[in-house]
Parts: sequence; C-alpha cells; structure tokens
Amino acid sequence: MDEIALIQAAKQGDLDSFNRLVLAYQDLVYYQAYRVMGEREGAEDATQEAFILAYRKLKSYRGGSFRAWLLRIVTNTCYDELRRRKRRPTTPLEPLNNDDEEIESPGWLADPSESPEEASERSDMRAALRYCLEELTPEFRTIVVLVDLQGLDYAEAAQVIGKPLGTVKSRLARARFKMRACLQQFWELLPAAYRLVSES
Amino acid sequence: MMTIKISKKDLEALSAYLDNQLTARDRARLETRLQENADLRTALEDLRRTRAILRAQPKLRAPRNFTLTPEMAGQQIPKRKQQPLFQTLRFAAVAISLLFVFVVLGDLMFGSSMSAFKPLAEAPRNEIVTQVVSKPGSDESAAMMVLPEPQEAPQESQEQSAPEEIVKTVVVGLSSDVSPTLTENLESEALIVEDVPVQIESTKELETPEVQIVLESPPQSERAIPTPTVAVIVVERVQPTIVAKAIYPQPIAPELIPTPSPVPNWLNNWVFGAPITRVLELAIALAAVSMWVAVWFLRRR
Repeated sequence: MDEIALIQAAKQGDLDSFNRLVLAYQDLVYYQAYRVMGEREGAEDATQEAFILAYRKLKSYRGGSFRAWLLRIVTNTCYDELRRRKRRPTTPLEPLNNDDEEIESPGWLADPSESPEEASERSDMRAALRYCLEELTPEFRTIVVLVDLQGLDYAEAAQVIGKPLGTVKSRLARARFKMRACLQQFWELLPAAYRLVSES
Repeated sequence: MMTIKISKKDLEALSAYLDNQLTARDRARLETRLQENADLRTALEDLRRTRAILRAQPKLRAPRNFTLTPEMAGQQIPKRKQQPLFQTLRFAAVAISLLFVFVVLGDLMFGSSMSAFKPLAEAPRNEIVTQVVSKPGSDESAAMMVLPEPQEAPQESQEQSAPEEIVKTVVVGLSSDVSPTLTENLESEALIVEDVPVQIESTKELETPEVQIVLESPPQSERAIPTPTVAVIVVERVQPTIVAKAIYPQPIAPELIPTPSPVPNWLNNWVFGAPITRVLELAIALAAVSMWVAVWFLRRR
C-alpha cells in the first residue's frame, strides 16, 4: 500500500494505516524535534505529541508533501514547548552529549577570548555543532536543520515554516553565516573571522 | 585578524548558489563577481565548509516507536509528564484536607451536642418514695401522699431534659399489673403530694399505662421540688395499696445552669473541648497546609 492510500485509510480512522506512516516517518520527525529542542527527552515528548496531533488533524491535510506536513506539526510543537520553557526556565546541572553522558569539557563553555590552543582542546565537533545550533534563535535553527541536516529543498522548507521562498533563502543564509561564525571558535582550521555588514 | 565585509544580498546569493537555487542569469552574474572579488571567494568557501560540516552529521534514529494506541488516538493531548512526587503530594494534600474537614465538622456536631447534656446527666438524683394511703376506688375524694425525707439514691430515671427547660409536667408510669380500672380511678382522683395538690391530667391506654400529672404549684418546703427540675413519679400497685415513687432530681447547681454567652455554644465547646482533639485537629491542619505549600512549589517548577 502506497503512502497516499495509507493516508486515505488513516483519514477514515484506520489506526493501523496511520501507524505504518508513523513507522515510516518517526526517524525524520524525531530528528527534527531533537535538533530543535536540543535534548532527547523533550524530543521524544514532542514527537509523540506531534503524531497524536497529526492523527487528529489528518483530515486537514490537503495533499502535497506529507513529510513537510508532519515536520510543520512537530516544529510547531517544539516551538510551543520552547516558549513554555522560556516562561519557566530550568538549567541542567551538567550538559549531556549525544549518548546522554556528561560532557566534562563542553565546547559551549568556550570563551571567545581564549587562545586558539585552548579552543582546539574543545574540538568535539558534535558538541560544538550542538552548541552553535542552540545559539541560534528557533527560527534560524529550524531552517538550518530542515535544509542542511534533513536535506529538504527550499520549496519543502517553505511549506514547513509557512513562509515564502524568499524568506527561506534569506533566513538560511543568515543562519549559515551565524553557524560559521560560531563554529570558528571550535574549528582551528577556519580562517580569521569576518564581519557581516548589512546593506541597510 | 582579517575582516571580510560582505553585504546581506551577497550572502544570500552565495548561500543560494551553494544549493543551486539561483536563476541562470543570477548564477552567471555571481560567478563573474567571484572571479574578481577575493573576499567573495573566501566567504563562499567558508559557507561551503560550514554547510559540509552540517550535512556530514549522522542522523539520529528514533529511540523507540511512536505508534499510537487506540487510547492515544482517542484521547486529548497528554499533558507534560508530571513528577510522581507532585502527583503523590497533590493526592495526599487533598486527602488530608478532607480528613481535616470531617474531623472538625464531626467535633462541632457531635462533640457539642454531647456536652450540652453533660451537666444534667451527671447530676445526682434523690429518690423519694411516696405511699398512697388510700385504696383505689375508695370513697375518699383525695388520696394523701406522704413524702419522706429526700435521701441519696442511685439514679433510676432515664428521662433527660435540656437544662434550661422548666418542667412542671411529670409522667406517671403504671406497671403492667395495674388494671384499667385503677387507671380510671386514678384519673378521677386528685393526688396531693404533701401539701401540693397533684392533678392527674390524662391517661394513655398503652401496654404500660401512663398517666400524666401536673404539679399545680411548686412545693414550698425545703423538700420542695426546685425549678428548673424534672420529676418522675412511678406508681405501682402493691395490693391492697398503691405505692407511688416520686423520683426527684437533685436541684441543679447554679454553676451547672448555662448562662447566656456572647460566644456561640459550638465555638465555646470547640475551643474548650478535649485538648487531645484540639491537638489532633491542629496537627492535621498543619500537615495539610505544609502539603499544599509543597504542591505549590512543585507546580511552579
């Protein structure tokens, strides 16, 4: 049974068909949630919530990219949770790496004023990437994750964030530039920093 | 430190160029500028390298399946996981609050009502045995009853009344062996308790016949029945005479007679009631308040 048939069956209330769609897209949806949320537990909650919401709102799906539709739901779910956390902020005692182990020398503790030698000691690229993604605003982080980590094209990314193609282009360019500037402090091979001068 | 100045428009063009999202015309124009501008070439290489780092990241797989159960499909969106401690404390706080309400209500209702009868119930009574010297159905119009000296006797009457009630009506209970004829005869006679005429007011045809006697006026002597008080006269037939037992309660001590107070009785009883009950209620109240404070703090986390 192809994707369209599964969607149609799920719209009629066939939960098994919907669960087959869940199994097909759960890695994609979870990875998006993980990168936007920045941690596993929140990503799991957001993923589960997103699939429940998707099942309940399935009748509002009018065709087009189904994965973009799912990614839009999970992204908005993450935004809601991030806003809730901002109202009630919590601070973890120790940062965790991808294996949920405490990072003894986390890259995000890097001091911009420290020497290149000190910075090179914090060369865990995964931790650096995670730190730099978290430094972005959720909107910039989402577009980088969609295009560069998930591999969506601009049109699908525009469908996910609900913005025109031009917004995707400008937002992605600025997000990449911020990522480059952030990664530079962890990447000793990067050339010297340069500064963005806006035309305006 | 080398600084590269690049416009926002050039930055967007470089980013789109990497993704092959430029039109043919814009692409040709940018490539011409790249040949002439070293800063643009450097910026393009930086962006290409950043993009490559991002795209080289391994994707994570879902740690578990997120398939929906029928309950999940039909239920509302689940709330965020609440800590077990929060749920337990919230339940305990509700339970102990209800316990507090029940304990206080029970204390106010039953504690005060029981204590209201306590002064009269504890008052000792005197028993006075009166002998009717006339036979039932005799021609004498009045039966004389001789009241002996009041003496301490064990409590025999189960009748109770509110302390503030002034009772002049006494109930005479006739034992089962008293015939209806005797009741009728008694009804027609005027009994005299010492120098106080006692009039039989009514009778009832019950298994144990009763006649009601009204004291027309309070006795004047020291053995008189004080007011407020309760008297019970039990008339038994002992052939060939009738023996009437008048059970007089001891006069109620003034200190036992409740005086009007600005504080309501229930509040007075509650405040000055059993200390152990007060301690118990305060302990429950403190526990309830502590738990609600803990719940409030946990909820804000």
